[in-house]
Amino acid sequence: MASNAQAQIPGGRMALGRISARAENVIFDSVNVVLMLFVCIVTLYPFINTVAVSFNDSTDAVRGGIYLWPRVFSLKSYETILIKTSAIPHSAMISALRAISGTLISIPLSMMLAYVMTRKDYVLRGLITKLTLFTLYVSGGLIPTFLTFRSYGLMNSFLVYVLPPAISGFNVLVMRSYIAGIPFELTESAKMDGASEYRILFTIIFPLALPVIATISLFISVNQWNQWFDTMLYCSSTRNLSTLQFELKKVLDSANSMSGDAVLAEALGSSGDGSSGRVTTQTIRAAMTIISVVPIACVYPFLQKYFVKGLTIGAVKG
Amino acid sequence: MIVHSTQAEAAIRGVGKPRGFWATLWKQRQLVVLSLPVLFVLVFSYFPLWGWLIAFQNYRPSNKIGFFQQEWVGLRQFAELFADPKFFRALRNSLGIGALKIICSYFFTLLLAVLVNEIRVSWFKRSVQTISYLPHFVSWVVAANLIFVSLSPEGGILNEILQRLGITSSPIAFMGLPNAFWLIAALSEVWKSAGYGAIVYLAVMTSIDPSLYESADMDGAGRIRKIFAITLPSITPTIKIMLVLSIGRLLSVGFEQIYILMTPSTIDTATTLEVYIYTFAMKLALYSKGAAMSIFNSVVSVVLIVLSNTFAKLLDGEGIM
Amino acid sequence: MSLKRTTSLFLAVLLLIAVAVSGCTPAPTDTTTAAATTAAATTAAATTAAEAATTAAEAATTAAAATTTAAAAAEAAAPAASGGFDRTPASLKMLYLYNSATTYDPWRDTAVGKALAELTKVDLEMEFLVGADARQKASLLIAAGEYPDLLSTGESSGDFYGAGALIPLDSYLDTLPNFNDCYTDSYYKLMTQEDGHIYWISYQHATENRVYPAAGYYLSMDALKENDYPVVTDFDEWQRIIIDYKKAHPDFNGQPTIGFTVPTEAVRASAIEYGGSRFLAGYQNDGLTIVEPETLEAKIIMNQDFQKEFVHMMFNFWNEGVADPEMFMQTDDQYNAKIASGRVVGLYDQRWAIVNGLAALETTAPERMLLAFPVTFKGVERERYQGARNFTGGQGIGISSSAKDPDRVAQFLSDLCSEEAQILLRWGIEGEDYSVAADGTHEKSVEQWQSYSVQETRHQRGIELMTWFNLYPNLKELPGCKTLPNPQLTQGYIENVYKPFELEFLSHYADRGYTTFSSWFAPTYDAEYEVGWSIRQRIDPQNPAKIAGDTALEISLEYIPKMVQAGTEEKFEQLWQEFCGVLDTLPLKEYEVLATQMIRDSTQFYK
Repeated sequence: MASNAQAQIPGGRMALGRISARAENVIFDSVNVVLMLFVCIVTLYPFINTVAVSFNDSTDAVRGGIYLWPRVFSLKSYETILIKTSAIPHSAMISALRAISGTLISIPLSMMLAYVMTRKDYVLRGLITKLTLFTLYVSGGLIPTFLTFRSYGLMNSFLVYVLPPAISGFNVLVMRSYIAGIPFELTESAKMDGASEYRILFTIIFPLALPVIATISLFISVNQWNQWFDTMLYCSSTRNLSTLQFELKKVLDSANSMSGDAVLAEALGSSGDGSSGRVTTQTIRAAMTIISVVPIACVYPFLQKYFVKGLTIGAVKG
Repeated sequence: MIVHSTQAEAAIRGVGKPRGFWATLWKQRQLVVLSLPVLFVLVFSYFPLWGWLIAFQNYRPSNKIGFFQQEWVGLRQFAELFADPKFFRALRNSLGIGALKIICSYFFTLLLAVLVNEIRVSWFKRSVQTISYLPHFVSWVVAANLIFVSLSPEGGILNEILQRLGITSSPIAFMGLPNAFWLIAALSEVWKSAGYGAIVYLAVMTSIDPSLYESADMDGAGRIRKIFAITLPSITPTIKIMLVLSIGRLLSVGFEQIYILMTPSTIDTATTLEVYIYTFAMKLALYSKGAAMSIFNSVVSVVLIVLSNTFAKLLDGEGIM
Repeated sequence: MSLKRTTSLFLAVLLLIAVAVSGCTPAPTDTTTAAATTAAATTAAATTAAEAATTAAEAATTAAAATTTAAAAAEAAAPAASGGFDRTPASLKMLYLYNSATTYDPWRDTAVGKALAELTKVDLEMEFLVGADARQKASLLIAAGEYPDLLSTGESSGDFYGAGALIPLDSYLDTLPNFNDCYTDSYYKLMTQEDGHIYWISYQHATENRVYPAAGYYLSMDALKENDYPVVTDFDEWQRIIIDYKKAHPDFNGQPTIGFTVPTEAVRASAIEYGGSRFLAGYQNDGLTIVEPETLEAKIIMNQDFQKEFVHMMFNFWNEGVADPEMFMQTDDQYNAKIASGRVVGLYDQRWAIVNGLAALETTAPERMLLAFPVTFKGVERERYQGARNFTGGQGIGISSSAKDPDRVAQFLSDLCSEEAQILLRWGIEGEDYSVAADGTHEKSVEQWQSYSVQETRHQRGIELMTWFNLYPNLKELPGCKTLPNPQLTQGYIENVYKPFELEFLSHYADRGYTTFSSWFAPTYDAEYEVGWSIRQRIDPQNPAKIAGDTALEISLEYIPKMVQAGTEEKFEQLWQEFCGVLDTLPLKEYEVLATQMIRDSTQFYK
């Protein structure tokens, strides 16, 4: 691994030999900036391209060849989605609620589990770690899971959005590895002062773990925001619980559904071949992407303020 | 510090005293209360596992007959799976793509995190972070279109570059090359998820004590040396856990990406287990076969995770379980 | 044990319970977040309540409106409303197992939908397939045993039937009016299931394409013009035109001309797997099989000699440099983009699959528009591109076993079968969408035809949108108005649908008697057996024969690119033999035997 990484960094340590650290820093920084600019170009391009396509005329976009800006400007795709689909505002609110409440439920619960997993003296530690970890790799399958959740009374209920995903093995283990890195002395001295485990967790660990909490919050809210499959499974007949992604999926499906002569062709049976007709509408797809990405993509810059260097250590010393 | 750890060890030894399990448990009841969220896992992840029984049936959805009245077929579903040569081809592809994905994603994600962490200008750092995670939000359908267009032999940007540089004389049809598929799958995954994955490492890096870097500066250490001497060792626990977790997901290559990127020319190298099971079971509503496959997947994952955990323990005495 | 500890333990348990019950959690260290959560939850509850109130109010208004208008209408529209059960205003739910064509509600948000609601006194809540395939959705419904009142069975007819999800309609079909206008005895027999009952009524009535053919071997107008406007029916000639044109015009708009391309994205690959070749040999569309017209024997297409010739044609094109180099590695978007660019000279496909590409082509290079021809091998006497006029009973609308008042639902279906409802569904509202001529037939003005021929405006009215309610035969005149229910089959549509460039092009064919792009295709004919693709839908998905058929498709898709790119004849031959060898290991014979049996059994209903 390490040798790989070295080879990847142009110059590497060997080539630099005895050049002074200062010179190395300058070279490193310049190479790094160039590399990062490259990363930005490569990762920003698909997004810019999607924006360009979303503002292009739909029929014209079929021709392809749109790169950085629209060829024939049109707002029609956004109009179709935002104006003609009346459910969008309400479903966006449900999605936001999902993201917020899902995070608020999941974070304390995950913290609790992550914390007990770091306690090496805890007799149930192994069991709880394994139970949490293996959830990542087992699934009961679509129909059994559906029937089980249904028997819990989660059909057509907002709870189905936030309760089942409350504990994610991945998130808990990431939190655990962070909490495990918090100096032992801190919790130990608090314990000697007679603090309860709850107090240790919520008043000492919690503020120290803010960077990882911010990270996991981001993961949870992004995940919640992007979900539509559970809406389809459990809440598709309750309009009040429809989510933005589900509504957008509807728009996409309607754009994909057979059109014009296709309906006729189907009736004739000549399209009995590929019964699910596919007429792609690229601009709708692009506009959908933009509508759903922009709100959630803004969460990260907001959370970045919690990624402040030395937060943990500062607290330890203070 | 040393004093404290000795005390802690003493505490652990205390547990070892013949006090009995229940007595210790009672003593640790606050921790037990804090462990209660594990009920969520039991209720929402483990209870639905009764569905695995479907793999031993010839299940058809029905509300006319009860679950246990379904036709029981023993291990037939598994036998049929393992008798199909296409299953092993799919297994090969899953292992190949999975391994390549882990290696590439893992390496590039870490590299990206380290390099972003080294950026000194704050606004630039934040911008790179935010921009690099954007592809995560672009659906595979949209992403695939861009990939197809960039790799096209007809004016695709990669072919243009290769030809201008004189590396190839005639354009290469990348998406039709069976041998290129694994790499295309792995690299497109990197492109889409490296920025998102790097967030974890970046968060952990914030907890590194700045004084470590300060003293390294005084020793005249260069940037690269500091990366290897301070940054990477400080985030080792996270690096390790991410590796073990991803090894467990070796066979979960990601259905959507592969299905969208594969072409008739690359069926041989692109059909992963997930594609195979979709094509020959789920599309035909053969749920029992799907469940058999899912059990196989879970068993492989658990074996892999136990192995990699043991290996991690051998390396430095500490696993993740 | 201190009191403090007990309290905190108690509190923690309470907290957990609260979390589990209410779905919101107070974060103990942070009062603001707790407040935010509560606020959020309250907002949600408030909104939900408000929504519910609005819906209720709307429902009340609709109901009131329905009652008042219905009272008046009941007397006026007595004939349509004769017989049957009470038409008490009802709210019904229906699931249509396909995607919706629109983002708005076809029943509640369109003029036609509202008129139908008034006529039937039913407020219909439509649910469509979103993000799942039909069988997945059906499996979930069946596993749960809970269905909406009405089900359009889609591809899952067999699943619903097997699970007892539908109730028999037989008694309703006999006693309620209108059904017998839509279905003849042989139609009823085609919809009868193994147990002797009818569970759904089909909307898959036979129809025709009188303006654009559904499938064919396409050539660009420009290539046709250079060849002096031929009607291309010979496979060799079709290939020659493509090769010559590609040689004469290697480029168009600075990009290479594409002699031939095919759709190969997984979901659309049927064109090369089996879709294109059967027509060349003079067979109709019978799904995976061809059916020998004399013996009614079904044969799998994938390893037939004519399929080999079809693949060999692509092999030739590939070697000649005529074929699209990206043929086997493109998305559907790229495929349509190529069609839209005007660079494509020839292809085989079904029209519905390329309408987007053609629509864009019309704006960029209409003089290179692609037209379909009924191309066959030499020696094939009769082509069957347009196929038989086939009523199929494989899917339709049924009443679910969860319906609380099946009688009321049946009455609703009966009302939809009435002439009045069928006219609303397909012609629209009198005075706005059509007018009644002196002889009682229906006609549209030029403007109305224009509005009708644009799918979007048509759908916004609700016309030809709810195709699942097209229960009256397409090719049979409605008795009252002496007009075909489907406006697209009437002369008025044909006269108004073509654009100037199309009319100009057609004028070169006028002296030979061709007036539409369909007219060089052989006409449809009466069906003599149940069409093969419908048979395929009916075979139990767990039947090994059916699985073999699907597996053969996958294998075919894998081998065709190899064969096309084989390079030499020897290699091509060797690969073909290898491919046939692999197919021989599958129980395809069983599929053929089964399909043949089912087809022969079906002939008794087609006399």
